[in-house]
Amino acid sequence: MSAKSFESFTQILNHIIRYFKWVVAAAVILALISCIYQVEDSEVAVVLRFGRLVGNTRAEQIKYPGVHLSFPFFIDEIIRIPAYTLLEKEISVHYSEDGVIPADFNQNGYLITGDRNIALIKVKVIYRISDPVQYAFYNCRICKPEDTVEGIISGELTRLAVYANIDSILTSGNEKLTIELAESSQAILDELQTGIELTSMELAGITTPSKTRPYFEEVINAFVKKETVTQQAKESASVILLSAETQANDYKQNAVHAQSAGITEAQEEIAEFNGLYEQYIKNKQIITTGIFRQRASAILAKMGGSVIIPESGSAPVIILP
Amino acid sequence: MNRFFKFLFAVIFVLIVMAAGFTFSVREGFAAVVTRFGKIVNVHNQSGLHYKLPWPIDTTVTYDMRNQYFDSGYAETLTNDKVNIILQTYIIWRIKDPEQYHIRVGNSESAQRLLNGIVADTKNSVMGDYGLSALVSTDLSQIKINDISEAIMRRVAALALSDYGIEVTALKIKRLGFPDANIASIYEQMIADRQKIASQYTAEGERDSAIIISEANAEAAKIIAQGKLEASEIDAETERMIAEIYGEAYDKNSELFIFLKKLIALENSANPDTILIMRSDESPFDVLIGAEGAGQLSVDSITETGEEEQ
Repeated sequence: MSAKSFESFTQILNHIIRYFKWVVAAAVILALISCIYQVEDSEVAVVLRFGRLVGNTRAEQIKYPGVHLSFPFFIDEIIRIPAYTLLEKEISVHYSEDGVIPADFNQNGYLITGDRNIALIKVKVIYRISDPVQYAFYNCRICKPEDTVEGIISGELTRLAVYANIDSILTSGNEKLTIELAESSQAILDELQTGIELTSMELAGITTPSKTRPYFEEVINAFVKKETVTQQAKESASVILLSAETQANDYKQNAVHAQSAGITEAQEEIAEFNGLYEQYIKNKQIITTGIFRQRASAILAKMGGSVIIPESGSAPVIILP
Repeated sequence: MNRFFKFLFAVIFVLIVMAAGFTFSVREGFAAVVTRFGKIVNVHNQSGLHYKLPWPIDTTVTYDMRNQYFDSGYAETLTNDKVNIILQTYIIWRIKDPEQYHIRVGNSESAQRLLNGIVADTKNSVMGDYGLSALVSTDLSQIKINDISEAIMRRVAALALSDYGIEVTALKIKRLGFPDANIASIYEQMIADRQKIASQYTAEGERDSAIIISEANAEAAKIIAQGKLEASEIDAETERMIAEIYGEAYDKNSELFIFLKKLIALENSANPDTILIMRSDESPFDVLIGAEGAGQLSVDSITETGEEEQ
C-alpha cells in the first residue's frame, strides 16, 4: 500500500468515526426511548427478554395498563394482548343466506339433524381473553385465534345436532342446544388452554332450506289449527258440562220445590181435615153434606159442561151448559 | 480523543459482529434447529439466548411450536352400510419433535398437506367400521361421533408423531354433509315428513276435539243422571213426608179423610173441557122428571160419579 493510499483510508476512517458518534448517539436515544412503553386501557402486555417470557407468576408476567420500563427493543419484545376487549364472531359454517344449498360443499354448509333433516344455523358468539399469557402463546404467529373458536364451535354444533330433532332445533329446544354448545365449546377451549372465554352465544337465523320452508309452515299452521280446534272443543265441553250442571240442578230444584209444594198442600189439606174433624165427629151428616155442596159447586164451576142421561131411553137427554 | 473513539468503534463493532454471529435468541413458543454445513448439530426447545458459530458455519432455522389450526378436505366417505357422506374435520397440531419436523416436513404448508392425506385415508378406514346411524340418529345410544373422531385422531396422531414429529392436539368432526346428488332426496324426505306431521296434527286435532266433546257428553250425562237421581230421592222423600202427614189424618178418621181426598181429587181433575155425565134419576136431577124422593141429595152417587170422572 502506498503512502497516499494509506492517507486516503485514514481520512475515510476519520469521516466514519466523526459520523459514527452521531449514529451511536441516535441509537442510544432510540434505545432509551424504547425502554419506556405504555399499555393502553383495553389491553395488557407480556414481555419477552431475548425471546423468553419475563416473570415466573401470572402477576409478574402480565403488565397492566399504564407506563412501564423495559430493556431496549433489541433485548425486550413487548407483546400486547387486547384482554379487555370483547371480541365478536359470527359463524356461518352451517348457514346459507338464501337457504339454497350449493353443490360446492366448501362454499357453505348445513347441519344434519338426528332425524336426517337439514337445518341452517348461524352462531353469534362474543368472547374475551381470559388468560392473556395462554392466549399469547397458544396460537402460532400466523394463526388466527378466531379460526380456532370457529372450528371448535362448528364442530360441537355438528356433534350436538346429529342426535337432535329438527322440530326441537326449530322451536324451544334451541335454547338447550345453545347452552350445551356453549358449555362443550368452552370445555374444549379450556382443555386446549387457549386462554379464551366465551361470554355469550346465540343461535341466529335458525331455518331450513328454502325448498322445504312452505312445508314447515304447513306444519305450523296444522299445529295452530289443532290447538284451535282442541281449544274450541274444550270451550264446547265446558258449555256442555255447564248446561248439564244447570239441568241437573233444575231437576233437584224442581224436586225441592215440588217437595215444598206437596208438603204445603198436604199440610193445607190436613189443616182443613183437622178443622172439619171436630164438627164431623159431632154431626157427620151435616158436615159431609156441607162439604159436598161446597166442593160440588166448585167442581161444577170448573167444568165445561154436564150431560144428564135418563135411567131409561124414554126420557129426553138434558144437556146443561 | 480520536484514538479513543477509534478504539471504542472497533470494540463495539467487534461486539456487534460477535453478538450477531455467535448468538441467537429463541422466542417463547419457538424452537431452533442449528445446522453445521447442513447437518443438525443442536436443537433448542427452550426460549432465551443461545450460542452458535457464525454463518456460514452454523445456520439456525426456527420453528413455531405453538398450535396451528386447519380444516381437512371434505371428500366423500363410504360408511359400512354403503352410504356416501361428506365428513370434514378440523385439526389442531403443533411441532413436537423439531429435528424430525425439520428433516421430513420443513414448513406449515407441507405439514398440513401431509396431515390432510393421513386424515383422508384414516377417515375412509374408520368410517368403514361404522354405519350412518353412528353419525346421525335420534337414538343417542347409536351415536358414535365421538368414538369416530377419537379413532381418527388416534391413528392420525400416531402416524403424524412417528413420521413427521407432529403432535395432533385436537381432531374433531367439523361438518357433515350429504353428496349433492342425495340432497334432492333429503328434501323429498323432509317434505314428506312435514306433510305427514301436518296430517297427523290435523287428525290429532279432530281426534282430541272429538274425545273432549265425547268425554264432556259422557260427563254431562253422568251429571244429569246424578241430578235426576238426587231429584228422585227428594221426590221419594216428599212422598214419604206427605204419606206421613196424610197417615196421621187417616188414622184419625179414614172415612172423612177419604171423602175429602176424593173431593179434592175431583176438583183437581176438573177443567173447562170436562163434561160431567149424570143420571136423571139421581138427586138432584130426579126433580126434572118428577121422580119420587126428588130433592134428596145422594152424596154417595155424586162421589161415585166423581170417581168415574177421575
